[in-house]
Amino acid sequence: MRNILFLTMTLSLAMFISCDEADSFDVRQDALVDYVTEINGTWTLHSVHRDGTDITSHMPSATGLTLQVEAGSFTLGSSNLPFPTLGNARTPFSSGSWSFDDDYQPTSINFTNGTDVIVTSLAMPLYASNNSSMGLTFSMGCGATSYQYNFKK
Amino acid sequence: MKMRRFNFNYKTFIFGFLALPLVFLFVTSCFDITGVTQPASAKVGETITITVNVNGSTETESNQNYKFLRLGMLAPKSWDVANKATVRFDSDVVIDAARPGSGPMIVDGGDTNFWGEKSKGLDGENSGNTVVDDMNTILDIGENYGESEWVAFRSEKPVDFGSTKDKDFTFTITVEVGPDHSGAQLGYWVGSHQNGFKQENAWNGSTHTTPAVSRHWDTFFEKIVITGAGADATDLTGPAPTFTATVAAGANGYTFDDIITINFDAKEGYLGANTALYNAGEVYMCATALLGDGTTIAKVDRSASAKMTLSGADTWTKTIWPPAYFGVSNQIITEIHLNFQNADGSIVVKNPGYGTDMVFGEKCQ
Repeated sequence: MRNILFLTMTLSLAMFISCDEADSFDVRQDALVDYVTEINGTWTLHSVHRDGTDITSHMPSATGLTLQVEAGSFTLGSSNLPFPTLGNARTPFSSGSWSFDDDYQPTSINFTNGTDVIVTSLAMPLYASNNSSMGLTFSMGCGATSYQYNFKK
Repeated sequence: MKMRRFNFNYKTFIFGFLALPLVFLFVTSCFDITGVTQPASAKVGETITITVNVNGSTETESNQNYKFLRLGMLAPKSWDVANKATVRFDSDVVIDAARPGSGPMIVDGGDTNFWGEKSKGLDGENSGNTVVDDMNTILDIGENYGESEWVAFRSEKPVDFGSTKDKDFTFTITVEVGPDHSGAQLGYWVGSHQNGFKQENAWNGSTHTTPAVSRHWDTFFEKIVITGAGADATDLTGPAPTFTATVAAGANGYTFDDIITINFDAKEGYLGANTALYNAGEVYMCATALLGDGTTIAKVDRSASAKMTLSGADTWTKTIWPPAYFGVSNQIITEIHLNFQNADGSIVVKNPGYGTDMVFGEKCQ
């Protein structure tokens, strides 16, 4: 019994001795600031995937699709490709306004013509600025069939 | 060498002589389907009732007809008749509770060791097969191109028609109309376990008004139109579908708002022959879109945008987004009609066997 008591006290002492003040680090003041994600510019379609299969080469004009994004507004270039805002389930629109679901860590883009709001998922995270790639994931007619458009700037 | 002496056994001779008529009493029975009451059309998922009217004749006035009644039904496989149909037979005969003149029919169990489920072939001998196997081997499938099957039912108990020489009775079938087909020819076979599929000319004394296939069994076929089966449904009484052209998108299907891929196989012509575009240097897709308002937009000019890409041995492909391809905006495309042509349009391949454009509707799971 005395040995157990002695052992317990020794271990407790060792644990207290081992405690030390936490190291402190200098953090840049601007590192803690969230920046609004910026995607303004002209995006050109680079590849099209349907249910994970690259079908870009099956559509010769696929890479002709452009998406012009400015502060709060967007314009689609003419194309023979679908886009979430062009589905015939509603009145299609090729220009309008847009917004992120979260300006700082967006996971989707909302395209709207003022009446309809089309939510399109981002296929990959975006940087705060200087983004050169952007992926959009969406479905068109058959909800179970998904498309991924990879744009480059 | 000792010669074996032939011993004439009078008892055996007399017994055989007396037993001969009894054998005839057992084997002589006729079935004649005198009519079938079946809906001319029905909708997928609807439960329909079919009545098969039969005249049974024992040929001789005896009561030696202790038999399992058998009914075969030919229907599209997608109907799953074995599991989704209920069948019973009815007559006004009541001889014995153990041998009723009415009662339920059950799916033949295929037990070739059970005397009531043994199958007899065209020669009247035990075939060693199950009834349903012989049924699908011996009987044809009417005007259906395939995808149909015979399902065998038997009376739950042996049936006795007594000493009545001719007896009318009915089979009543209740079945759910299955998917996948817009038309079919349903078939019915009636017989008994006693003679199975034995092929024998009709008995001279038969009172049947219509010729039966065999004196021991009869068949009857009747078409039915099926609605609500979807755009992909085929009419089993038409030519067998080919894989001349297919439309595909993702694994779960497509609507015409999706990017779709049209495949044309020049090797898949009528009844397995090559199409007229076999070995063609160029193939153009001529397409017509049917819109929701009933109007059509045709793109049949064999322009560069209609040219297909060679994707394999005499297989061609084209991937399009239909609204842009047809210049449709704010309109629903309900069907796309396709034919395939060579560069100058002198060769046109349409739906083999039909001679019309191949029609595709939306298919989204």
